[in-house]
Amino acid sequence: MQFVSLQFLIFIMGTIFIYFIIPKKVRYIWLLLASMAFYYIVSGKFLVFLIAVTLVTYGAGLLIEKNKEKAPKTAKLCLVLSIVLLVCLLGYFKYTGFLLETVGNIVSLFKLSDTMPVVNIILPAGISFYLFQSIGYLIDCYRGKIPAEKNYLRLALFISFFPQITSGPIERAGNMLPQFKEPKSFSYEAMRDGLLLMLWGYFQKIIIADRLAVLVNKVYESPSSYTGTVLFLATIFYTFEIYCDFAGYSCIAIGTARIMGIKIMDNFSQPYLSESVAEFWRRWHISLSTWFRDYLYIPLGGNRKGYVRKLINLMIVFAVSGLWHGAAWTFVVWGLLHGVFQVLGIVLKPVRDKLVAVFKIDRESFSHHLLKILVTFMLVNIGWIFFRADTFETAIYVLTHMWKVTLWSLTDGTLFTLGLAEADVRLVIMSLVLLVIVDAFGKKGIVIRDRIVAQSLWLRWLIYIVAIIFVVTCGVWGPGYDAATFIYSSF
Amino acid sequence: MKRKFLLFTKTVAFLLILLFCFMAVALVVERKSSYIKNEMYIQEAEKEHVDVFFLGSSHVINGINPVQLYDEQGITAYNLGGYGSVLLSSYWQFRLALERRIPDLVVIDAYMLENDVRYVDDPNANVNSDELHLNIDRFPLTRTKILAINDMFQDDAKKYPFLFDYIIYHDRWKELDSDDFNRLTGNADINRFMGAEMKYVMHSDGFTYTDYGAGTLDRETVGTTYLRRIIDDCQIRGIKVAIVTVPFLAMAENQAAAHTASQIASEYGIPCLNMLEIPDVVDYGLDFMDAGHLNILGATKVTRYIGNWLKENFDLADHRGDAEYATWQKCADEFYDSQKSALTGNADIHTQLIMMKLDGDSTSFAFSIRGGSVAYADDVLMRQLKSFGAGEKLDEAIASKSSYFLISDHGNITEFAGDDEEKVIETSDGVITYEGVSDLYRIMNIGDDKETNYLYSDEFAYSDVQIIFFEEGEVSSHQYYTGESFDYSYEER
Repeated sequence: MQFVSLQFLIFIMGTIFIYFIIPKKVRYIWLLLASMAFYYIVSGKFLVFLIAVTLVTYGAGLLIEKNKEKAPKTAKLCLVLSIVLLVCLLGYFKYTGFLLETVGNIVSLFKLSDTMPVVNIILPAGISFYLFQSIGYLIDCYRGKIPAEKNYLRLALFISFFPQITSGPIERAGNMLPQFKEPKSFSYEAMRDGLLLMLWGYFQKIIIADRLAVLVNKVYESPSSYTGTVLFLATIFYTFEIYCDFAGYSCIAIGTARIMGIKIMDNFSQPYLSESVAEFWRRWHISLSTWFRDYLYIPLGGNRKGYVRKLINLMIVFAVSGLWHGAAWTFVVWGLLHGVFQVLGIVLKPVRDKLVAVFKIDRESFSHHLLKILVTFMLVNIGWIFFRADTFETAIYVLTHMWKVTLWSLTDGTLFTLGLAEADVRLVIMSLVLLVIVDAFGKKGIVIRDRIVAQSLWLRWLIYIVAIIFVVTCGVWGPGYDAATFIYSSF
Repeated sequence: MKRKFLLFTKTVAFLLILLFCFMAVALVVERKSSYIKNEMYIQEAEKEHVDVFFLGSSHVINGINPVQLYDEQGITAYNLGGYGSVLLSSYWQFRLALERRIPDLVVIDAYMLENDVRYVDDPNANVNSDELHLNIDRFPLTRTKILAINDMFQDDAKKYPFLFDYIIYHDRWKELDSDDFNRLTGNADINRFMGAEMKYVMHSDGFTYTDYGAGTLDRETVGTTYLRRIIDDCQIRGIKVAIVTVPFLAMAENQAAAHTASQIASEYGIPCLNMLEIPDVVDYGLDFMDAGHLNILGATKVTRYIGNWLKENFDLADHRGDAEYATWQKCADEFYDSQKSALTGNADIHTQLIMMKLDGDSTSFAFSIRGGSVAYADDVLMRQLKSFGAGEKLDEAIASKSSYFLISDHGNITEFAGDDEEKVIETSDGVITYEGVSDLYRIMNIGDDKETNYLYSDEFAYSDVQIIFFEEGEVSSHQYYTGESFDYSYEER
């Protein structure tokens, strides 16, 4: 069941309706049932695997808490074993093929053997997300940040909560379990806010991302057929596609939960308006970035073990982050590239400070902010090339051929030959402008949703109706479309 | 409590307004073909003005003209044929139409009776199921429509766009024009031929009909099953039924299907008209736009024949002159007026000759081909000329590629070929003088005016074909066609 489907809308309407008419104390059970049903529809028999993960996490949590005071070594062993088990499960499903392929490449490089076994392991939907949630929960229990959850059903709901199970946000037990324990009453304001968030999510997904996907796929299917500005634009389009796709999903997930009075952490905060790559990672996929910070970077020593160790830790975290995103070396390179950007940012900071002083640059000037945003955007954009390309050859081709200036591609109709009709290209460009404006306001702390809600009834109803009709009418959905699934749901 | 009530009321009001807006948008973005074809049916059925349903495929759409039927017989029929319709889809078209009006008579075309594919979305159906939108979309979502879609489609995913067409039409936002918005105000153009669509083109091959001596179909098919269902449903409701097979270039299996249709008709004791076996109703060389579909010339003949046959076999009311049926008269007037106004000025020479043929003998005209013209290689044009009465002189001109001249005095034909001395032709619209001097230079004068040569000017010296309409000694229209191969460019004076 895709988020962009009538079935999903009917599913959430039914789920939410029943959620609010049943007694509060059993609502978490209803949500668990709905979540399990959702996961069964999405991933079929892997529901059993999900239940197994919840059981392991539940048991390990209880054991950790039981031994934490009296036998800390046992608690630690329990933590380590459970994490190893969960990571091995992730490794089996996600990285076996990758590992065998890598070994095969090495073997064929040295001409040791001609054939290597090929495996085709189906990836359970959302495995990277809910296993990370489970690991986070166990570490929090071990650290004593939260008590182990005694109610299995409630913990199972935390791991399998349907709005976030396939693509996050990767939540913390400390935030979610209390909300499941004490559900909120129905709130008109929460419902409205949730619906507006969902609408914005659908705008990003079916108005922008799915249209950009057509252009991007066309170019990346045969990159050598393109050069110069078209390639450059394709990379920019992908940069926005992945943002709108993933942020769109997150908005729909967060909005769905908000209607039920459940607050899920924000996952995106105007990432492309960041002024450094480090800031980008504080604004992009926030739930994953903070997960890596809390459960990998800090345990590795963070910045407490010296300058060099800090830089090494950064590289480790981003290499792992790359691997988390996809079982391919292109993803690892993407992660490492972001690590290198940040390491260079730290290493070159004195040089940058010196240049600012020498040229008497006003760090607070608009132009300086804009320059930093543009430079950061381009660095991130270069990183996405490795993320999107299927092979290194493709990535290198795009990276080396996109700089040739062929500006006439913007005016000679080339853009209209990339699989989208003229009207669609114009619509997506206008929508991108709107997206940037909304993000710019957001960065200044102005939430457009709140501004709309503050308007008089006729105006805000007009905005709601126009927005709903616009998204539904101009959105990419229905037969005849191969609407891209959410990119992050494959991670 | 008061706040809750207020919020509830506001929510309901908002949803109602949203629903209203969605319905308006759905009307604007919907593809208008079904609305255009069926809207007149909806309007006239409401007024109980439709006495006869014609069911079938595109053969019916292009072959039977209810407006002509009304004009000539006073019968009020609606053409419910659908592109690519098989008997299965015709049955459900009949059921949908029946929700609006119980007719006196249902006439079913038996084409595709041999079709034995159960579902229209079966890849073997050889039917473009999208064409069904033409039949279906205009009819509102009712239990019958749901039954129809469930019966015609096996794939659930393919059903939804027929039940809720907004699913596919929302993407038309990028191609909207004024007609789409006029749908909201009810001012959009609609089909004024009561569901028919006349074609003004002629096929390029010289078809001849072959009788394969076929028997009947050797099995019951999905087609025969649904034909029987239509007959059964009609008889239950007291509606008279007739089966026809509109002429087309039928293959052996088609001919067997037509025989089977006759057999089924006799089983039920209902009249059947197999026009494949009635000689001389249509001219297979002239009256078709392709092997399956009649053009306006064929449709006119077939409609006239069927109209007479219906009058003989059924007691159908003649509504001509009834003020209540003014819309039908208006549609008929518009149809014939549009034909009259299209008598001249057609850029396509074949269409021009079709219009002249349709006009019958009401005008006088001269038709000239220059010597050495590519027009002689245009078989369609030559066939058309012969249908006007051109004869041995045309054959002579074709053989020698010399100039050719034909005068039609309200249907009375005089023709000349090659270079010849001055000839005088007395017509009811004036005296014409013609002289063929050379391939290019020919002389045509009207009356005493010997200064004006209508067949030669430097500007149009090389035009291949000239058509000159004249009336009471005056030229009313002069058209020039210049051909490169068979593609003519057109000028008019």
